Amino acid sequence: MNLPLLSLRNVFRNTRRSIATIAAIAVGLVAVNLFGGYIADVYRSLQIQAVAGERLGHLTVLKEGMLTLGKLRPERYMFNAEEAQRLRQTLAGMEGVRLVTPRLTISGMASNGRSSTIFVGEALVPEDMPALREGAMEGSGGRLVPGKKHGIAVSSELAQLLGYSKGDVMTLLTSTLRGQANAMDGEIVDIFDTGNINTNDKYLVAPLALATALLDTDGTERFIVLLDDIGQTEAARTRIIAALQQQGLQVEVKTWRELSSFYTQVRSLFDMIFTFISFIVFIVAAMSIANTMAMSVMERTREVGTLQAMGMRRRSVVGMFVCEALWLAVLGVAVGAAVTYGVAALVNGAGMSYVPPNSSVSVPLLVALQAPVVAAVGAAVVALALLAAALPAWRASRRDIVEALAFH
Amino acid sequence: MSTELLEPLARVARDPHGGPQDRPGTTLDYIPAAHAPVAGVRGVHRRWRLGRTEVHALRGVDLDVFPGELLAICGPSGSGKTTLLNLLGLIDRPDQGEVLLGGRAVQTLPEGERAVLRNRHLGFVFQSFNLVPVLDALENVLLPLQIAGRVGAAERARAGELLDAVGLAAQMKQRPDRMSGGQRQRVAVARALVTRPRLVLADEPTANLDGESTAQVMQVIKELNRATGATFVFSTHDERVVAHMHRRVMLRDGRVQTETPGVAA
Repeated sequence: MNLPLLSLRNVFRNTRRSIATIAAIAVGLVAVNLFGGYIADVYRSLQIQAVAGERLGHLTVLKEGMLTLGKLRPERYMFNAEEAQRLRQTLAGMEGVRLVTPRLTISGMASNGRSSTIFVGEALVPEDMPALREGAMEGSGGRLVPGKKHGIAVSSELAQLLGYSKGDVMTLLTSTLRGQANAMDGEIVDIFDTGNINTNDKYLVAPLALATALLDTDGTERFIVLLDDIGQTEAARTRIIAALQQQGLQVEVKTWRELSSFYTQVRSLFDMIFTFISFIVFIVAAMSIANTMAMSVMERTREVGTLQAMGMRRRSVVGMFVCEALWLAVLGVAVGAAVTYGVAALVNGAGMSYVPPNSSVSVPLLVALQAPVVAAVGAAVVALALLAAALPAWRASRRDIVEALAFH
Repeated sequence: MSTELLEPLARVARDPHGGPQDRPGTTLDYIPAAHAPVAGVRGVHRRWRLGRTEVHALRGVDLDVFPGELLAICGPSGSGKTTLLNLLGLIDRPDQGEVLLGGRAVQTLPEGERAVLRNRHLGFVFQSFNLVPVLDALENVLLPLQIAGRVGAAERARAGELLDAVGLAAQMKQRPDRMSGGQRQRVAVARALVTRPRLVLADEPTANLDGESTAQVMQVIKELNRATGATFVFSTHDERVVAHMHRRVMLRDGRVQTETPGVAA
């Protein structure tokens, strides 16, 4: 009868109390893990939405000052044709870089000849769009047709507002970078939902050639960089800045996280909620274990006195009770993990969906459990259980043997 | 219980002379002379504080315990029997005086060292048996060896032989809650002897037993004493126990009042 086995038997000396403790730990873990899995899926969706849906890529390269002073005088902070060529050549040869493609922001008025409304949008190279949209939901974000220089993708409410459908021609009015009025027609090749109620009535995607003609410029506002591995984003940023500086290009490079304020805000909100829930669960688990151990220590006072009379050292008494707490925590974590994976499978198989705040489309409710997170939460509960048991165990070990033997 | 204990008792006997047998590496690295006391106290005082009242439980007691004897410490309630036993058992410390084990003063040793001495040289039998309920009889007997961290095939065999010797060979796998009071106390006796201690201290071991169980337990103890030379000190006022003793020490108000040979002497 070794210590772990003796402790396990002691755990089930009061079966009802131990099961209640294990259940409290397990239920708390299920709650934390399911919520953790849910927000992991949300983060994954938001990441795909930012990188592919919003076509931010992994990195965006801008001329230094574009994001501040460039808002007032964009032409001064755009890459000219020679700089753009140098930049593309430099980045194209870098290890881990999959795609480098230009992007331009446009805005103005969209008209059907009878009424007009504002539009905002972006211009891209249609041939690069399949790579940029890789992983995005089918139909989301707009699709351009390679080779169609005037084919535009229009958000659904904008098309509805102006009474357009696919194949119709929409007139776009803008100011050139020098301030002249300009207008061109675009053929609607796709109508899409932006997924955001704030942009779904004004957004469009145009081919880069159409946008440069509308703005009357040969400059490039920014370059989108796709990497082979999203995990290399930070490292790639450092290498890109260094490489371009060697080429005499003063640039700033933003990651997709920095440009997707929605992702950052949602993540910080969910992280805070997750921390709060975890904290509550940890407190409940610790108190359950501390209570169980305190009761166990009290009930077994005379037994502890007997063991010490037979020569058990104080540290062994502490070890015995801490080992019992360890069993309770490990069993609670094991049951919690099993139930977590079971419930997650049920939720993921149920095909549930919901409409997130500020969204115009419903999204599937999924739980993407992260084994390292489940393991870390479990390990935290086990560690906390040991701490919670330490005090009652220490008290048990310090009790006077004569008093303990006389305890009733 | 079997009354034919001689054969199993022969197996648990420690040496041909029936005296205490030391193991190498123990804290007490000497063996007392044949008739030197196994343990004892010299001028011990012990006071308790109960609220504002100070209870002077022992007032300068001297006592020697000799190898192989059955010694009863008798006296009315509050006379200091259990306190004296606790001092001899190294689970309490005197306010004044010396506690001797194998001739060495041990009252000031650190608790860790006293725990080792208790484990290696002392055995305990309690009034309420104090068996661990989640362990079966064999595991309970092995517990002191488990605490010492040495349980192998030889130790298991010895524990089994001791249970056989106390007439519980058939109950080895039974847990205490399925045993009678007498059976539990016999398990406790086997547990007390499993480490081959110098001294077994039994605090009112028959107080919770009926007459038949008392007789069985005392017979087992007497047989083990005879076969193994184990030394027993009892705290008791049960005349059925005292009748088996070699010596009887009467305490009154914390002092030794009389010391007389027992009926069995």
